[in-house]
Amino acid sequence: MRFAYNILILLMAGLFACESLITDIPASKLPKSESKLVVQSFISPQATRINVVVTESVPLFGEITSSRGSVIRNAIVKISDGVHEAVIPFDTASQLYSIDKALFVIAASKTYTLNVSDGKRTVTSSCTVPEKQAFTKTYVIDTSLSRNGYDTDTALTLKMTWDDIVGDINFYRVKASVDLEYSIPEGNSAETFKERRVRNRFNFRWDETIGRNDYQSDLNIDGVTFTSPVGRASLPQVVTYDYGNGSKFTVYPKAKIITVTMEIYNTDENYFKYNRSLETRGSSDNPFVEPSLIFTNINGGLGCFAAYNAGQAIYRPK
Amino acid sequence: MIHTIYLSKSLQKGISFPAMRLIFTATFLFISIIAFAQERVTISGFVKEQGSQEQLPGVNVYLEGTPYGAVTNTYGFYSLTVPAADSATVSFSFVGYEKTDRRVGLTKNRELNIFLKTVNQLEEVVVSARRQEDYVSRSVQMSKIEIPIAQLKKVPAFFGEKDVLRVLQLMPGVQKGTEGQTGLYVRGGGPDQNLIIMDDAVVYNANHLFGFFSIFNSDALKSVELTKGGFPARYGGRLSSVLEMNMKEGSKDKLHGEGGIGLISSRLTLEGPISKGKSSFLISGRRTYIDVLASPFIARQQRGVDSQVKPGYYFYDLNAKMNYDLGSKDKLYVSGYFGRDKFYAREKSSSSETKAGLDWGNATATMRWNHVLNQKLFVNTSLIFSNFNFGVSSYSKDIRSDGTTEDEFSLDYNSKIRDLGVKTDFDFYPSTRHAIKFGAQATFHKFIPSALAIEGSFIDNPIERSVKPVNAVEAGIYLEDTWQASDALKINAGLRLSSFQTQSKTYIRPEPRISAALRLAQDFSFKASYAQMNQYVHLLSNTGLGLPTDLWVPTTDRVAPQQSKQIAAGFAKDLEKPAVTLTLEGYYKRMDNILNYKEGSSFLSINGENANELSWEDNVTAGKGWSYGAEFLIQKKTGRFSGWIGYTLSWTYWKFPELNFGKTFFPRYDRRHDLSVVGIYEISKRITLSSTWVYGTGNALTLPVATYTAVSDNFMTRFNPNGKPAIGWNGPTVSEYGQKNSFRAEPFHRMDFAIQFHKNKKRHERTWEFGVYNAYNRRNAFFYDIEEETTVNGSTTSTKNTLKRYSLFPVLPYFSYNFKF
Repeated sequence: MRFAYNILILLMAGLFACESLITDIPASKLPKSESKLVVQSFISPQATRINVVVTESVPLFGEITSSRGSVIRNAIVKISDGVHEAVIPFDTASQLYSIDKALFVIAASKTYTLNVSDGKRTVTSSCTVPEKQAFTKTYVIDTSLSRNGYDTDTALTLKMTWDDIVGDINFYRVKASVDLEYSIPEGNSAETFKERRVRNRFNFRWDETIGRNDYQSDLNIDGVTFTSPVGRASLPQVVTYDYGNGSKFTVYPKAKIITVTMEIYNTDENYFKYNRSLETRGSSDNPFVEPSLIFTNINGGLGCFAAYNAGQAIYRPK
Repeated sequence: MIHTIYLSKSLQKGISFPAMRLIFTATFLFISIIAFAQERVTISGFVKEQGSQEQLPGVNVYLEGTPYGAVTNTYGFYSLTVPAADSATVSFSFVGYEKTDRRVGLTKNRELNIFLKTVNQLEEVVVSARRQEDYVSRSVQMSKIEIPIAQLKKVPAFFGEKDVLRVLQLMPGVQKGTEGQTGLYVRGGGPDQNLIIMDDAVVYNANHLFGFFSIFNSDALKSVELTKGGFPARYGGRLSSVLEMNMKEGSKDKLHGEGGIGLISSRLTLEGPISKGKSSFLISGRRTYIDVLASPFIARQQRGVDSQVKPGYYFYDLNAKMNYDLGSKDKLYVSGYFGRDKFYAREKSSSSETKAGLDWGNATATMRWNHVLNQKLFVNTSLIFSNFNFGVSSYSKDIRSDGTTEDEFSLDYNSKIRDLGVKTDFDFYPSTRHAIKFGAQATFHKFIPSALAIEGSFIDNPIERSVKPVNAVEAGIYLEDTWQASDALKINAGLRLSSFQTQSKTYIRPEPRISAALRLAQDFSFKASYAQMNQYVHLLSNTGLGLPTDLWVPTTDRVAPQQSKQIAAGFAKDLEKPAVTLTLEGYYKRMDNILNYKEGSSFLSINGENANELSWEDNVTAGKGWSYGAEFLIQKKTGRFSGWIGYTLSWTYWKFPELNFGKTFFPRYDRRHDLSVVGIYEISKRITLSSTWVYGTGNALTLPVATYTAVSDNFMTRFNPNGKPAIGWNGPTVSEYGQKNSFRAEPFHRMDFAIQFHKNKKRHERTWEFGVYNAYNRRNAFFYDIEEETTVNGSTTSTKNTLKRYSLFPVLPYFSYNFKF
């Protein structure tokens, strides 16, 4: 028995000898990667300009310096439809490459190629603009009240339906915005406060559930009528200034809808896959959850070159 | 023909199932073909352990000096039909038991019940020559692993908890997932693709404590068998393996007990007769006590603090079995398992109270009736119940200073699966050359994938949502024959017809199975097999860990059953001296319609108004996989020095249209090399030494390699202060991962060690066990994480990312005290 106890004591000593359970992986065993060109551009016959953002990726392991990963300004960006080609110039104000649609036309059914080079690296990609448009068939605009325990908030809600384009595989995205006219306080002291009417555009946010999304596809359900998720746009809130001497200045927004713009994008597969992958990438830090990969169709680089054909409907209250 | 009489007799017993009738007709036709020139006699009976009268499955029964032999079935029954003779010697042999010979007259049919004596391993060394027993080369079954419970108890264990699944992980073709986990990955399949049955009942979640322990208490187990391929037709319902466990029946002679006290848990098993020789019982329990041990320390740490937190965790298992001998022809068994895991935390302060809990558990119950219809026909009928449920609950309350409740919030989430089943299996022994099994099975499943209730004083509309329960019927009929075609060739051929009925669709799938063994030389054979399997219930897991949040879901109109096709071929060789068995097998398996969560999906989505429109069917995606590899095993089951070396070389690929953008990738647990070495050495009657060493290729993981800014299409027109329009853009910073699972974790290896001291006391036998898990303190990866590190060097600071490996278990010593009487 004594022998057994001696072993026990030895084992216990072993337990306390254990070191930290977190170990740094040496640099030689880290996955290798190089900085790549990141090109992002979404073209559409309805858009007023062709915009191309060109940046570069930053390898994760190694020194982090602030200059890396920023916008590439000296690249040569060319777009072509097989017949015509245009060089898209860099716009310093917007920090992207941009050209007006008058100088290069984007048309439905056509295939476009984008070529970007910064001297050291060259990447290419191409996409085809979907032929047809889909339009909002019915819509319901309403308001909803939400309370979170502290505040109450009024939001405009929107739900729409549209008919699937029969035959081909389609990918859709819904977008909507509301132009509002409302009152805000203006001035910088109690004496000068006054009400002012302003106009602004607010985008609808879509309830993020996986089953029904602002991105939908007719895979296996060709020809159905789609329903959008519920879109919400918060209405401006009441603003109250307390002078501290018992008197208050309150501005009620008295919001008035000017227009509600509803758009159905009939997108190509690249657009759908890229944006869906951005949405589902999740923000979880759980190391056990499989990360979801970001789609790319840029040969030799990262990012996305995609196209859509938008159908627009506008509601104007009388 | 004598056989027709037996068949029609059994028909008279009132089995009028149309499917059954089909089987009978087929069997009848098949049997009629066999011509009998000689007069034959049948010897049949039960083989039991001396003393406890525990029935012994898998015992070899043969006529000395002839090729005629049989094997006892799960209930210890055998039947041997041989040419009539004046007399012959019948031999009975089984690992761990003394070989027994009986001289019997073979002039007429006779019943012969045999009691086998257990042998002491050390005494066996003196005998030295290997006795006629479990020659792998003689069995037609391939890809099968049996773990003798006695051996299981000698192998070093994690925290001293002897675990069946952990020992199975040391076998070729069976791999572990993440460090410390008990999940089995068999030939490229996931832990959900294993049919785990205990006393005929399917166990859905075999995990305790997030997969670190399995629910099987080895004290209550009689036999453990894992089949990786070449599945006989009697099994069905999962793609990758069948793990069949049978509980002990309980000793019929006197009261016996067995138990142990360990670092994590204590356990006790009692078994004994209810009515001597007629009926017996077994009851076995295990409970962990980390919560009880930790609570004084937690309380002390929080002394004088306003907010009192009480966290805790425990699990327990309860196995019970009773059996009755209703005469020589009938036996009745009732057995059950009940186990639960419970996590809880309570926090109370003067201004608030929070309670949170997580609990899950299985319950199974089986009633079995054995009936010997005649010397050649044995039937077992089982009624089976199985239930698994998982729940999350959370409650919080804010308290005002005057003690009244300010507001309350509660959430309850439940997920459940319940099975009711009935099953009949016939064992028919028409001649020495044929052993036929046929039967039918039906299971009524009820799934409640998720039910959620949320209410609170500040929530206007309490949410009460439950996904509609899904009822489904899974059924199967089968027929298989083990046929000694010639002296050198043995074939097991069978067909299983499985079906699954959803609300509006019925899937019917034929599953052909065949395996054959060809003897090439003395104790050396070549084996080959083909098996098709279908799986109608699926486990959705987004972690790969054995978490209870993993959700069991049925096949539906939209979600088709999973299917696998596997071919395997190999060699088996038995050696006399030393008494070792060598097997080498290669396999190729294809899996279709395997399910996985879509990227970014999760089991619980309770966002906004659309929550009730969510369905798990929207969150899953189907794909295919294939796996191939080679497995080598050298095993010595008996003797003073026993153990095995197992090596697996394998490849597994997955291809899902919606994962990795449709490109083929390695799943997380693809493992190129897997090696296990297990050794047990009996130094003396009193001391046993054992050690294991394992090595495995690292898991395939997805790791970011670079970051960049992603622009979604929000190119918006904005107004600069000077009024000139410009285009603005922004977007999230995202990671580039390269290909999915393209990073390999570092290889995994570990050595465990144990020493046992046995002593026979006046009334009992006791064993002290001391052991070390991870003896050389290898820091194996549990997961990897990327962290930003800033170093200050004089006036300059530099930041860089480092990859960190998190390990779970350093060197862990343990001890336990075990007793037996």
